[in-house]
Amino acid sequence: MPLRAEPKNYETSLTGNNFTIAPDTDEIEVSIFGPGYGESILLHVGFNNWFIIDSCIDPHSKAPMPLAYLEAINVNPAVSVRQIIATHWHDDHIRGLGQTFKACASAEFVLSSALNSDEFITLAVAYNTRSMAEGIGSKEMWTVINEISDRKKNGATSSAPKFAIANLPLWRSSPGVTASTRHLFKKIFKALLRSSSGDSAPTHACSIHALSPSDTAVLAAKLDIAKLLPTDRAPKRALIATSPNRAAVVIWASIGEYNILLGADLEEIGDSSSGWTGILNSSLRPSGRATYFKIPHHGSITAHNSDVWSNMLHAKPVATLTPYVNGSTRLPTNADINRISSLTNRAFATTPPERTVTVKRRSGIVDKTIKETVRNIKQLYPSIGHVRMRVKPGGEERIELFGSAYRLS
Amino acid sequence: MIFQPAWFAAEGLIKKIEAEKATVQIIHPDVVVFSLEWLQLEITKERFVARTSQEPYDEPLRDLVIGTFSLLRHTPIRQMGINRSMHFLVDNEEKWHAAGYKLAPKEPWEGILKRSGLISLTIQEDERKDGEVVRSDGLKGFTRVKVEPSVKILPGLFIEVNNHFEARDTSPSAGCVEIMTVLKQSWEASYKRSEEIIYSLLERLLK
Amino acid sequence: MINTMLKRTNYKWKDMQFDLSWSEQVSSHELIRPFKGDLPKQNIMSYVSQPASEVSSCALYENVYLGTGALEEPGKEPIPTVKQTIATQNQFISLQKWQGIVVEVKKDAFIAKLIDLTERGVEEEAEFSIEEVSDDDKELVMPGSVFYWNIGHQISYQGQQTRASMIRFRRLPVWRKEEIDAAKSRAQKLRDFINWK
Repeated sequence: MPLRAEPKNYETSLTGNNFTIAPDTDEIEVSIFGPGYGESILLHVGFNNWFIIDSCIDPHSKAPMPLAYLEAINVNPAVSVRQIIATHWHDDHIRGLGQTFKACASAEFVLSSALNSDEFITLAVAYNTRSMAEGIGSKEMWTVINEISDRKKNGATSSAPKFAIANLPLWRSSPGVTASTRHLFKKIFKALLRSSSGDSAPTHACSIHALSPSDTAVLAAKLDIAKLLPTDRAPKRALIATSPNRAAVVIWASIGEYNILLGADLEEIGDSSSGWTGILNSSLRPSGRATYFKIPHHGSITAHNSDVWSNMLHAKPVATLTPYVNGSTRLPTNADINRISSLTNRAFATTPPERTVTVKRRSGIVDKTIKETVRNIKQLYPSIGHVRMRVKPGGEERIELFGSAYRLS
Repeated sequence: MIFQPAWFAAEGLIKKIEAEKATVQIIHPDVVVFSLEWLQLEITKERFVARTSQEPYDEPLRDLVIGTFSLLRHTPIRQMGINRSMHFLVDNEEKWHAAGYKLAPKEPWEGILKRSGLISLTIQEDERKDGEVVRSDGLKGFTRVKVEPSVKILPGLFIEVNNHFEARDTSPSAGCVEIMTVLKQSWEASYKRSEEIIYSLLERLLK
Repeated sequence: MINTMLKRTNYKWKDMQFDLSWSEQVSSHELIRPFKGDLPKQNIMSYVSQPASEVSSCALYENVYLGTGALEEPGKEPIPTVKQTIATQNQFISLQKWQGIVVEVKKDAFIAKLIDLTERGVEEEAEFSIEEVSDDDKELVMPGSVFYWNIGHQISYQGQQTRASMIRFRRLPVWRKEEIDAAKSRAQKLRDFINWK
C-alpha cells in the first residue's frame, strides 16, 4: 500500500501489487472478500457508483472489509456507495454491516422482504434492549435500524429501507450523455452534473434486480422468524439465525451487455416456486446470460442447480465462492470442488478450505490444559482472501488474487 | 427487601446449590449481607455492592448485576462504580520502598515528620465539559486510582481503579435503564482500561 | 504495553466489585442507628445468623449496638462494617479466558464458538465433552447458550497450586411477558417511524 499522509480509519491486512489502485471510470469491478467465515462483495458499475452486498470483517484489524477496501483505493463511501444490500441476516454475511451503513451516508439500505415484518423488528428490539445475548446478526441489524431512525430524525427524506423480492428492480441508471459532451457541460455548469448518482451517470444502461426471494419463500421465512420470538418464561439465549436460506436475495446486475449473477446463500429447496427452481421458472426475470457468477452457499450441493449453469450463465463463467466452517460443516467439500471445476475452468475461492482452520498457540500451561479439556479446537478465519475481477465494456476479464485467495480450477 | 440467596436462585441468577450453601451474615428488611464461594453481596436500601475475588467470575458478576436490575428496572440507580483492585507482590523491600518514593517523595516532609511513609494515594481523572464532570470516554463520571501498601501481602502494592459512572437522567421516574446500558456498553472498555492502568503503573513504579 | 511477565506471575489477589447506589451514599450501618434504642441485644444478634469469622459475637454486637460512639454523633464516619471476609477461600488465577456460545449439541458433546477475552479479536471453535460441564449446568447446554471458560491456577487457602479449567454457563432471568410486550410496542412505533414497510 502506498504511504498516506493522513491516518487510516480502516486498516486491512490485504496487500499486493495494484491492490490500492481504483478501477477506471468505465471499468466494472466485482470484488469478493472471504475470511473463512463470512463474505462481502463490492460491485462497481462504473463512474464511481458502488454497491456493497453483505459484509465481513478483516480478521486482523477487525475493520469492516467494505470500508477498509474503499479507503485503500481512495473511494469515499459517504458519496460513492449507492446501495448496501443485505442478502440475509445470518451472522456470516453481516459482520460490520452496521458500521458500514453508517459510513455510507448516502446509501440506500436494501434487504429481503422476509424481514419486512413486525416480528423481525420485535426480535431486534427484544434481543438488543432486553437481553445480553443478541447474536451478531440481530446486533448488526439493530445498528442499521437505529441509523435509519437517526437519518430520519436528521431530516433525510429517503431513509426508508427497500425490501427486495423476486424480479423487483433495485436500481437503475439510464445511459447518459457522451463523455465529451459531459466534459463540455462540466466546464460551464460544474455543479449541475453532480447528481445524486455519484460522479456522473454511466454511459451504458445499468440495472440491478433482485431475483429472489419469491412470495412463497417470504411467507415461509416470516413464519420462521416468528418462531424465534421469545416466549414468556423462556431462557435468554443468544439469537442464532437458522437455515434454510430460502429468503436470501439473489442479485442480477446488468451493466451494458455484461451480466453478473450473485447467488448469495440461496439453496435449492425442491419447491417449484422458491429457490433456484423458482428463479428459473420466473418469466419476469431479466433476460440474458451472466459471465460472472458468485456461487451460492459456499459451493454446497444443496445450492446447486445444473439448469442455472446451462440456462443463466455463459459457458465457462468466472465463478467465485467463499468457504464456510461452522461446527461440523465445512464447505466446499472436495466433491463440490470437483463439480465446480467440471463446469468452469475459471473458478476461484477467497480462502482454501484447509486454511480456514489453524490452531492458535498459547503458553505451555494453557495449551496443555486446552488439550486435556477439549476434543478439538481451531482458530477461525485466521486469514482473508480477495478475488477481484475487473472488465471494461467489450473487454476481457482480468482476475487478481490477494491474501489467501486461490484458483479452484 | 427481597434480596436473599433463594430469590437469586429462583430468578435463575445463581445456582440452586449455591443458594443452599450461601453464608448469610444478615438478612434484614434494610440490610442484607451474604456470600457464596465466589460472591460477596452487601445490599442496603440505597446501595448494592457485589464483589468477587475469583477472576473467572468477573463476567458472571457482571451478569448477576445486569440480571438483577433487569428484574428491578425501576430502581432509580444514579451512580455506579466498577472497581478493580489488585494486590501485587513486589520482588523485594528495596523495590517496594522505591515505588513509594516515586509516588510520594520524602523531601517535602523532611523536617516536618519523622520517618514518614506513604499510606494511601488517590488520583482522579476527569474533565469539566458542559458544566458536568465527565470521563475520558465522555460518560458522566470519573476514573479514580488508589495506591497503597498491601495489607494482604508483604512487600506488596495495592492498586484500585474505580470507574465511576453517573446517570444523566435523574428524574424521579427514571429507573436503572441508563446505568445498565452504560454497564453493558462500557464493560469491555473499562475492564481493559483498568488492567492497562494497573499494569502501566506497576511497570513505572517497579522499573 | 502491559508487561506480560508482570501480569502472569506476581499478582496474588484480584478483586472485581460493583457498587451501585440510588441516593447519596449512606453507610449501611447508619441504618442500624434507628434500631439501637429499640431493640434489645438478643434481637440484634438474631439478625446475625452467622458471625463473620474474624469478629467474635460479642465484638460484633458491640460494633453494631454500641459502635465506637459514632452512633451518637451524626455525620461522623460511623460504624465498622459487618465484616464478610471469607476466612478459608480458594483462589483461581486466570491465565486464559473465553466467552463461548454453543452452536451445536451432539449426543455427548457440544461445539461452541469461542471469543478470546484475554487476547481480544481471536475467535475459535472447539468441541467439548458434556462431562466437562458441571451437573447443575448441564441443563443449560443448548444452542445459543453462553458460557465462560477459564484456564489457570487454582490456589487453595493452604497455598497448594494446581492447574485448572473451569466452565460456567451464564445465568440470566427468563424472558417475561412484560418485556416481550414492551419490545412489541417499541417495535411497532419504530417500524412506523422509519417506514419499515
